[in-house]
Amino acid sequence: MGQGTVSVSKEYILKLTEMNIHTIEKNAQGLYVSGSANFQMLSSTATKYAVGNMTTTYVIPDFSQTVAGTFTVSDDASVIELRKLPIEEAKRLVHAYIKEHPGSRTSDLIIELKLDPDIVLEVLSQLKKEQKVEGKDLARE
Amino acid sequence: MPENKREILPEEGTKVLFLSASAFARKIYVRKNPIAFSSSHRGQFATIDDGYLIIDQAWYSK
Repeated sequence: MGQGTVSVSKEYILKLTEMNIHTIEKNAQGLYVSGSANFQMLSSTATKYAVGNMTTTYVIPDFSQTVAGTFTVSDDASVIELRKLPIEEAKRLVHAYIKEHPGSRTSDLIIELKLDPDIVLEVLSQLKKEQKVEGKDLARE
Repeated sequence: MPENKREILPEEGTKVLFLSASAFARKIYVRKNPIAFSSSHRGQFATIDDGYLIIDQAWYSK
């Protein structure tokens, strides 16, 4: 449980009055925060505009934890949107990425190239048939 | 029937073993406490709702 503010736009601020964080994970894109929160929506003049509850799941590129349970989030919080590109375009991107980053995992291709998982799996299957790439099982540590 | 020929829908209660997999899910709850699988093998536990797992491979150009 904690308190904090999230800037959601230039006009409004969400003030979290209670936060139940289920997950905080760090990855290459930033911090992945998931949980449920009670909030007050305030106008720019800090008058109460609305109250509510939301389930939050997002990746935040910039995160600063000031004290335990209290956090602030920058307003440019971004969600990774996975794109559905035409197969040929996706194939070109995936092949180039593998050439540049040998040993990339399937999930790296999905997240780094921001491609829909179904597209990536289809592309990998086609590239494998065309003998342009090979997939190896990840070795045990 | 799965829309994609690669999709599988295991029975509930099925255990799937993998060396590396990625989860895409609506909700992922990770428990902080380490789990002791055996005397020398520790790991973590996560509950995943409404999503899917992709078994990862390492990819190389030929």
